[in-house]
Amino acid sequence: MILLPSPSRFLLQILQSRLQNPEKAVELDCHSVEFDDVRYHIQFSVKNPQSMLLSVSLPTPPPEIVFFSGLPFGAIEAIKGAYGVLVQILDPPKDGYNLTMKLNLSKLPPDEEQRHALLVKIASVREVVLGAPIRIILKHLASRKVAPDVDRLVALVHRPNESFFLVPQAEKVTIVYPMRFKDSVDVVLATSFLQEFVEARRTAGLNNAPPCQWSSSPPMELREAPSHSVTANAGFVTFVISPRHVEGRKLDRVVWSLLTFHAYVSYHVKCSEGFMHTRMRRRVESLIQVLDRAKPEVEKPKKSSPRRSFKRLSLKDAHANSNS
Amino acid sequence: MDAAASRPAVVIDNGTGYTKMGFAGNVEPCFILPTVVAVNESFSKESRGSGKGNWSAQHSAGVMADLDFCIGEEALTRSRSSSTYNLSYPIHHGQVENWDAMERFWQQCIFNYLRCDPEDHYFLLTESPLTAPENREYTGEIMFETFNVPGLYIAVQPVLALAAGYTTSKCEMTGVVVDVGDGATHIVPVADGYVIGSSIKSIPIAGRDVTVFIQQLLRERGEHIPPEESFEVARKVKEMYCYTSSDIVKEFGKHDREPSKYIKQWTGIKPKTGAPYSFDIGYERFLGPEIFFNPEIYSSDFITPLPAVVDKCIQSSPIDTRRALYKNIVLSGGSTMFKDFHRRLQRDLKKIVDARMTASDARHGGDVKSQPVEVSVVSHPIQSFAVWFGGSVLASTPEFYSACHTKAEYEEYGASICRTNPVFKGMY
Repeated sequence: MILLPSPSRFLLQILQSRLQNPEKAVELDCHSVEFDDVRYHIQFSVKNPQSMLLSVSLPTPPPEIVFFSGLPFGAIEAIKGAYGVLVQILDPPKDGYNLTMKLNLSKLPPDEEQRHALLVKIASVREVVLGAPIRIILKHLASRKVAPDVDRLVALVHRPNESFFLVPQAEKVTIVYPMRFKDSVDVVLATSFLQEFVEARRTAGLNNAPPCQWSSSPPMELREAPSHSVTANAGFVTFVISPRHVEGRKLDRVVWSLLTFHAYVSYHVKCSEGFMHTRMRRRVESLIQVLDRAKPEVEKPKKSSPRRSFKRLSLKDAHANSNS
Repeated sequence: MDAAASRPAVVIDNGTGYTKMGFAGNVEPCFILPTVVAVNESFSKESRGSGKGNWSAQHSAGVMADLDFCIGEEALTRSRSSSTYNLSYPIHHGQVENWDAMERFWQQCIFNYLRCDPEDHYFLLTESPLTAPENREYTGEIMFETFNVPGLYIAVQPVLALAAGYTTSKCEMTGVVVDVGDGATHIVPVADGYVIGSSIKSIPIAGRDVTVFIQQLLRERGEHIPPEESFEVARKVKEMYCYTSSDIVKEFGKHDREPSKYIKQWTGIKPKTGAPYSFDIGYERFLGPEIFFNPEIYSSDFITPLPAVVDKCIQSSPIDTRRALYKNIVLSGGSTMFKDFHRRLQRDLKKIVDARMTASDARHGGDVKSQPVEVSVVSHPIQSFAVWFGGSVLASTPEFYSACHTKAEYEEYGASICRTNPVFKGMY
């Protein structure tokens, strides 16, 4: 319900409407911004209505992360793997973007179901690109190996100038999120939300979920991390992912959830603020009702009978009245 | 200028019928959805039944009720398929009535449809010209308190509709906006970007009335439409087949002479039984939009036709703006999308104006000849989301960011900063 779905609705809508009425080959040039500063730019030209130019810009990485030609580690292979013949990566990308792809929509599979699956995949380009490094590490975890040529502590970007950390090991991967919020109210709400979150993990129904911890100080895993990235005003959340969590088809969902954990928490914080306001409004209304009921009955002023008209007092009469 | 100003602003135009939302700088809104929220009421009812003692059950039921809702098309399909969801329309006649539903609606719009972080973007919302200052404060409160937006601008819909024409032809900020939405019809004169507040006219006939009228016509003729669907079907008929005629009598004649050309067929499937049904769409094709020009066929309370109201509105404006106002009458809102609506409005208005001119010429005895008044109704293809487009144009200018109410201002002064709107502070 309150989860963020991986494919972008906007992209999916554009793609679907394009394919449903191909004769409506109008020029299209629009942009959109998602949470955590991921931007899309979509272009269709009249000349070539079946090819779409999709540019994606990613959040600015903090200094400890190195992008390979503007993209996270392994992203290009992931794109090629996901879209196959459909895609052609343009190099260099459009100015201000990290990746520009040319998608050839005439090469979509004719089968309705497969085609839809592929469109959804295109719409979740964010997961493919940003999630590429996690996917590599988790894939190796599934086969109980440590990915080769990976550091002991891997930093990955998830928000502009902010990163989260992975500690890959053969039997488990530990993931640490420093949680930062701008607003002081958000910090308080997020902290209590995270504590509840950890508490909820302990209930019987969630025995198989990855263990999760929250602490206000940086955990031991972050000893080697640069000092600017270990300050967080809403504490640190640690997840331990073991091989059974990333078996088979679960992998996609795990990658997406890990990638958007911060967005998930901030979405929750905003929603709970909204719901609190709803409650407060209801409370005020009920209190006003109580107040209204407690008001003493106001005596209605007696109506003057309509027959009698007001007598205009002359100055002399008024004088006489005041004297009497 | 902070980082949020480097990202495009989010423009949301909440109408009675449809909500248009997207990012500034785009030509089209990203999403157009019906303004409706489906809330699951079953949780709260169950908890009330279970007694007061069970606090935690009641609590979690409340939480579930909070979470289980959806908006837009999804809400409509959900409520059709199951009876546990109740539809609530947060906006009535252009005014927000149910703030809880509105807050949920915005929440879904921002997080689930646009998928943006409200802290990262400036926001431009719209309101009808007759919104009370309290409502504007309420909007500000929700935006700043719940969503933590860095800046907010609440624009007046007709001004945006005027601004929409701004880029296409010339930079004209004087004109009359005839805004016929689903729930409200306003005629708003604007001079140099300032609303002439005292001359705003509104009439109680809008898009929804057209739908109701069509529904009534179909029912009276005895077409077989399942009653639970009849409103939706009437709405579709309105959107797909209706047009404005130049003369009803001629139009009736045309229909009777060539029924095969003018009468359309509608086929649908009954939602309960799954059986197909079909019916004819006849005179309602032109009678629906006719209620704007001859309201007496629909209601007995309000019988002034739209062109007369537009004329009255311009006549009540300051005398030095009238010619400019006649020259630039801009249509906006989904219910002006009927074919030839602008021609009909222009012709009828021209008639009224010319009649007045000849009368005054006759009074002066022919020695003074007045200059003819140019009447022109402007129509463009993006009329149905002209307000949104105007918002998109406005919010992509650098001045927009300085006109916004910022979060810092809100924290300093409170919601009262949203109380006044600068476009009403003109010279009139």
